[in-house]
Amino acid sequence: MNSSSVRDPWYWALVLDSAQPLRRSPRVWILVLTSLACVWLCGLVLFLASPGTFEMTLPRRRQPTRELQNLSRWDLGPTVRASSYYADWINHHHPAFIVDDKASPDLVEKWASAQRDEHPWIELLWRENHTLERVEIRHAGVAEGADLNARRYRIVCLRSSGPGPALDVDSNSESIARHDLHCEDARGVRIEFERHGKDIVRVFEVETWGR
Amino acid sequence: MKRRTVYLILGAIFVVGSILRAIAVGIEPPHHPDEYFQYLEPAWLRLTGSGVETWEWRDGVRSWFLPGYHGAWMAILMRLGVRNGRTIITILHAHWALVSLVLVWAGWRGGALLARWHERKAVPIPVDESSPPAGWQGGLVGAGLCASFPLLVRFSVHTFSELASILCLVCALVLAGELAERGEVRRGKLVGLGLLLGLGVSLRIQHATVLLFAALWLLWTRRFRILLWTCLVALLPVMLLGLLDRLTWGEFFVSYIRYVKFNLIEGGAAGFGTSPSTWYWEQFLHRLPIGLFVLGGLCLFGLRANWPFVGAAVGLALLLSTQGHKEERFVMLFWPLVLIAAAGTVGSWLRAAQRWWTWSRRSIWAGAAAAVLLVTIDGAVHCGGNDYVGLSAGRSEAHAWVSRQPDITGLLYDHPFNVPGYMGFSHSFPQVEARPPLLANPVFSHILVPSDSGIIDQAKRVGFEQVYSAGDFVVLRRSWPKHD
Repeated sequence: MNSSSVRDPWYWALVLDSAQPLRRSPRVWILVLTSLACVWLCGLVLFLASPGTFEMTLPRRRQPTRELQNLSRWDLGPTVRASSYYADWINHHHPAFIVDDKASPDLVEKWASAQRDEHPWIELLWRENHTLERVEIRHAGVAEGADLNARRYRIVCLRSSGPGPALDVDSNSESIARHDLHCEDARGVRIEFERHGKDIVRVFEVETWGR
Repeated sequence: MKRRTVYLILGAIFVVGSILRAIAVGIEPPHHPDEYFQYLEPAWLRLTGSGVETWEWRDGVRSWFLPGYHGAWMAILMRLGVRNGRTIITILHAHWALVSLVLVWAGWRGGALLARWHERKAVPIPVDESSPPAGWQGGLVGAGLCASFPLLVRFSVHTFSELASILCLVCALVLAGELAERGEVRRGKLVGLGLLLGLGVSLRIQHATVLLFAALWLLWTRRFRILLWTCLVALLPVMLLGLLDRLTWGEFFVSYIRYVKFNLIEGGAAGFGTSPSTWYWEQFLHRLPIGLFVLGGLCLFGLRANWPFVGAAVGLALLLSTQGHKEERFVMLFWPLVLIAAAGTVGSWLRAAQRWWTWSRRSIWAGAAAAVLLVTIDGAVHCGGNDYVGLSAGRSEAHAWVSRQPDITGLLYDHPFNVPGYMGFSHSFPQVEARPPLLANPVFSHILVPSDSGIIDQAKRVGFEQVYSAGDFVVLRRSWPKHD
């Protein structure tokens, strides 16, 4: 716009004569911003590639004995890994609850998978190798409706070298499900659940019995 | 004044703004739980598998844009070995404090622009290398106010979408004014304006009053071509954020639709508390009981030039006043807009005073300095505290202490909202509101509650003992028997 333009309305500040363009060095700023954007994009790739798997290791408070025992009990210092958990402010169903050994749990003291998790799984890992004898799962039915029990799942024995023997459960209806699974040199177990419709998976306790 | 001197003063203002923001990074307490749970925790959950997932994130009411932005920086920091969530939060606070210095730039350019705009006639000044940019007086006042206004400094460290949107939209309004002033279609500036407007409004839909007044400014000055191109460019970030919704939530713009439906149409936010329609104005008065009248007077005096700034600010406050649920952070955009508008008026007086007698000039300069000081000091005296009172300093100190405990395996607390989430605790332990039946669970190793909480005695009976206190809060730890 020109200061002498007749189209300029009364409110128009005729400033061109007095407004000097500011001196800048855009190339430096463009270089800095482009570098930052590149670093950020690298971070975005890392962020998107992150598996987002939950993991927590409890401190060991006693040594395991040579007798048959629950190898995943909280005081033996197990590591709990999970694909997800249901964690809103009020209903906080943390994976650590499946090893707390509570006989009469509160409704909040269970592991529940996140709503978005289509393939929930959980792993219990021990600090040393053991011989696994059986796995006991306390499903939702121990404190909630039995219709919320997980029906189909696969229990896999985990060894240092990789997966060991596995057991497929197709139609569980028990609230306390006991599954014999013998496995030498086991390091833990992994349970892969199949969701029943839109139901999330709810498990109050997992006990892994062995020596 | 020489050009070099003006830029030296501007540089000094940037330094002061940086120092004040660095202090804020160190001492500013959390403003609201949302700054953790809506903008940081989702990214932390995505990266570590641990995190609170609020109903907004389960139901897809939020865009992944800002958590994704934070998440990328978090991923870089974690790759560099910074794994402590609290440290990462501090780095992100410093990042926003640094980025918020663009408000000083906006104050400089906006104040200068409005000071020039006050002139009804051309004032030819010989263009030479040593003259400062026209309107520099308003620019310096604007930069100074934006750098040091205490409430803005405090707010500049928080990870809210409001802050990101404010930075975009205040800069956008300044660019709109500069384009309206010159009338030339300057490609870089126009693209910047469009992108900032689109992004700013996408980040915070309620801030759309800036978009409205930027458009009106361009219309009023008959910059139709600029307006058209601005609208087209502004669609780019809007479409990108819509696409982001498609990729993350499964449908285009679904988080925006659900957000507007819940907050603006259904009034769902009222469930979190309501305030009278005058609340925002009372809050402005509370923050600046004397200075607000000075700012208001300056804005009114310069309304002919600064109406887009004042209109956007007042429009925002009026719009938000129609909503039942009110929070101070929602209206924080009001402050930079009125500060720049007032700076323009002061700048125009100082600019005019150049042609007056020496004593008049000195009086004007003294008056301007007094006004700026009054606003800043009044703001400093009344900038303490938050409208959200749940996150007290004592509670925050107790959170920080808990986050440093290596032996913690589970935490019981008094209030599920007033915590910094998994990221702020830097651990993946279970955290649940304290209830007596949960005391028997051996996984819960610590309790953080107010010192008058009824659960303390019960906790002590089952083996907890007090190990820390801060303000009105205490932390108890379960004592374990010795083992081999």
